[in-house]
Amino acid sequence: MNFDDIQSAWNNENAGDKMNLPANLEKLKSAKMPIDKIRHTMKCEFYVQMLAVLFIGFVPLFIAVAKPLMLAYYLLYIVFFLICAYFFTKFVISYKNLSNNMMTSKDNLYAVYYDMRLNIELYKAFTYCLIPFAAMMAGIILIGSQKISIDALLVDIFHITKIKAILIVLVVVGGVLLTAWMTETWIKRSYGKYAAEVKHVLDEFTEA
Amino acid sequence: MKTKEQEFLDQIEKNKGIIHKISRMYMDNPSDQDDLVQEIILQLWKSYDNFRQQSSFSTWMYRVALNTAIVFFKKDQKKPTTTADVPDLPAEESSDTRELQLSHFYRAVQKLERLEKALIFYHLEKYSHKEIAENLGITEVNARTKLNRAKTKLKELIREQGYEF
Repeated sequence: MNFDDIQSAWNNENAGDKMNLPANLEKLKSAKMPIDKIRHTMKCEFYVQMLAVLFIGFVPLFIAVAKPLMLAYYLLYIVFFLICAYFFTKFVISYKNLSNNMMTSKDNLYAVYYDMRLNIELYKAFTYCLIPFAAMMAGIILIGSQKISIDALLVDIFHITKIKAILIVLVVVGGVLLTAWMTETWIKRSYGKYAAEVKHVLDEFTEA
Repeated sequence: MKTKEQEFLDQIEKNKGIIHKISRMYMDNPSDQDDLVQEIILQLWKSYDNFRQQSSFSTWMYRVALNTAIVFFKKDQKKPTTTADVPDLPAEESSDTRELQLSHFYRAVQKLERLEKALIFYHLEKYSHKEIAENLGITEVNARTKLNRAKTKLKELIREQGYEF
């Protein structure tokens, strides 16, 4: 066999006979392209996150937090809510931005890779932006749930022991590190593998 | 008067052999090939409005179909490809030598990289180096060099299957 034989066999292959076309296009189901898979997973996550954001807004009402703390909580919540709204808008815009398949293969791959990285970085930024707010809001909820007066709370803060302060700092740092680790692992498992595969294909296009 | 959808399906019907060949080159088992065929048709339909008759339908289709195949990944990536997934070769005494040659070709092509598959595909569709380069977005020199490497690799892979090349 040589390439002429392959060429001849290729030209004479009745490939179309082996394939059935769908009767109508509505029956077609996407097996999902990598970027679609990422967006689909993110879309599902964001519905859950949106519900979570709304739920967080009602938490102080359930545990009857003292009014001054409630004010602090809702001031933080407004900023928290605005950050979420900003990222949700970004994701919706990104979701609707379909790649143009008519580009050259290399440009198309770059566009797919760019979309993936953008989605991943947005996701990371979103999570990291919320960590300080989540920590502060959780702190308010914890203090608020103990039903102590603001005066007593201030006295406690001014007379905090060194060990207690270190412990609080350690819990906060630990919480932040754990969240960061979970975010990175989740992104790597859910989205990173597709980006890595597209990057691998893109590398094939580099000059010989 | 034909609807846009019917017009599109008629065009696909005329060119479906190409979609089948691309799916066979990029996916090793029939189930994944079916998924890829569906995805290609879906992507073609999605971008059908961008097809402005500046080029022939087949030229436009080649580009969209290959772009889809290049970034298409199997559903279950955890399961490695085994020889059991690759369709059996017809018996050597098969009356149809061409079918046997094609089977060896498709089996060997599975082991090529995605870009190499695209290069071999365009080469078999008799595209010039310049046209291949334009479609893939690489330089003509790069297209020539990579195509030669892909052909050499393919030759070796077919030889490894015990078929004289």
